Amino acid sequence: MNIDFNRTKKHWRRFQRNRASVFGLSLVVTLLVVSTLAPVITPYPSHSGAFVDVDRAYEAPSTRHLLGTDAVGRDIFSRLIFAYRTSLLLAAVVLVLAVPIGVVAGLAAGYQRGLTETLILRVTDIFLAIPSLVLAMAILGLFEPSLPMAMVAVAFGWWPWYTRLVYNLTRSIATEGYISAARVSGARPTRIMLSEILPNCSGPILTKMTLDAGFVILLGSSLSFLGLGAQPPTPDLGTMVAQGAPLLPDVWWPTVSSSLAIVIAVLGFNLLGEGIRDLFGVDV
Amino acid sequence: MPLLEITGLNVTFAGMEGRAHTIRNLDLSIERGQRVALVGESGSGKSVTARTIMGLLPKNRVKIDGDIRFAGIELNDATRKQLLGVRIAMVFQDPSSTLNPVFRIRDQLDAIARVAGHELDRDKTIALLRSMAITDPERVLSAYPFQLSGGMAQRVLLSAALMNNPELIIADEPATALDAEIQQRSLELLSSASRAQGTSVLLITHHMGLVRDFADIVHVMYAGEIVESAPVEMLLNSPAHPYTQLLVKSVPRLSADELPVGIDGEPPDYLNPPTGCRFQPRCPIAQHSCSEVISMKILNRDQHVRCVLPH
Repeated sequence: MNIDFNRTKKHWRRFQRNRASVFGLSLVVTLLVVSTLAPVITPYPSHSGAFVDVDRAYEAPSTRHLLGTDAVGRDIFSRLIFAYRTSLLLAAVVLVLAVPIGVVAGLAAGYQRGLTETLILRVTDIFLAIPSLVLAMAILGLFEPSLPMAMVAVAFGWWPWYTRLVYNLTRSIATEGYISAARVSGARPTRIMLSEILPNCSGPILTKMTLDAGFVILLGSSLSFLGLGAQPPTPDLGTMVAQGAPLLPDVWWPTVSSSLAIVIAVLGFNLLGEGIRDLFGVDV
Repeated sequence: MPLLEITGLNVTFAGMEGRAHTIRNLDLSIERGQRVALVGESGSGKSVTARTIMGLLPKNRVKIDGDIRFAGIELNDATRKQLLGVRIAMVFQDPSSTLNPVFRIRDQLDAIARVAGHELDRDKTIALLRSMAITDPERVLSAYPFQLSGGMAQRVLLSAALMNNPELIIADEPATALDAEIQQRSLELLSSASRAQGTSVLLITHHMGLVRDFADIVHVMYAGEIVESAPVEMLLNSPAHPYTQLLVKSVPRLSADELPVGIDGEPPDYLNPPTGCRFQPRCPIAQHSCSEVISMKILNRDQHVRCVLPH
């Protein structure tokens, strides 16, 4: 265990060398901690729901409401923190759905080859030919828009990227000597794919997941901006931008603060992803 | 009954430019405890033979005919699942790429033990590593492949091959990627382990010098055919096939005054091989009758040769 600890320390020192990735990590950690503790640390936890106080509508930022209030007098700062919960949950669920599907399909296509390969790759081509936002909008158009449905719709268009990534990695790893060695020592294809090839893909997969978390948040916010994602009164970054937009430029604080909140989340995950990429020395 | 018996093996690769008949009518048998060498130049089909036995060739582009039996069991996908890793093991050329970089040696050896249906026996493994001249087995077990030297990794792979006490080890140019001394040492270790456990070994190499010390029987391969088979002493002292004669002459000797003689010409194109004897275009004593199909001739009890010329 001593060795593992030293390895972690060594990795940390390497990661630390890049100030930007450390900044990204601290942004992501802060977001995770703050959104987890949202009910405890926000000044007005009750404002996350269908709270109405018309007398306090459109109040400019002050010490009482750090980022002002929205159309029905709710504290924007509190709602932003709750909105991060929605966004992070969306990113987590989308990746949990999309990554295993994409990875398994990529392993199968890259290792089994032949008909399996052709079939899987042509399907991913079809998915990749349609922009993610358009695909997600099309799916949500068929169903009642809601947060869970948005998660499924985004994940539905997201897995092929992992198939592509893992397929290429598998193709090159499959030519390594240790794969032949595993085959002649009697290992089954499933075991070779999952225990020999997959661990060698973990660096690029992890890097892509981190980078993607930011983009999934952005796509989720775009959907809710269009009214296809989380529905009011659920606090959501995209919805908040949309609600504030008609009031510009006089009432600027709802739009500007929620837009910046999106930027912070995407920036945080991107910088962290860059750091992890450097750590593994991989290109995605 | 021989431990491994290959009869009438033909392997054809289908490529863009046509069919390459890479292995032609190959017969090979290995008795229990025997060390057999398959020698030939690069591209003679040695490794293809090994890969055919192990079922490593891609099925869609390669046509394999012939009969391969291990202890009387025909080798196919189903029987290979039972035999490979347990009764048949293989050692590859390049030790550094044959170990998975993301796992410790212990875990990789454990995976091999599990193929045979048991867990890694710590004491036995340490003893095995020690017998392979690894002086600090504890460190090696908890090391990652990149922390081992090439020679060390090669010895780990030999240990891995020996771990499940296989009856046959196929060594495809072991340690060719390493320097001559480590290669020699690795083969000595394999040889003594084979003697101690009664393991049969099929050694694939282009190195005549290694064969002399290692093998009991030598098969010389040229352009996908076995051109001569004989016990090692007989083959080196009285080679019968013109190719073998030239091959033996081309081995550099420190004691000789002259430089060894090379063999003129190039190996044939598999897409368009010469009819009859495949060595005929390079053969110094070729005759008209060499264009006929030539089968193995039995010179005496042990020495077989594929040549029409009188000996």
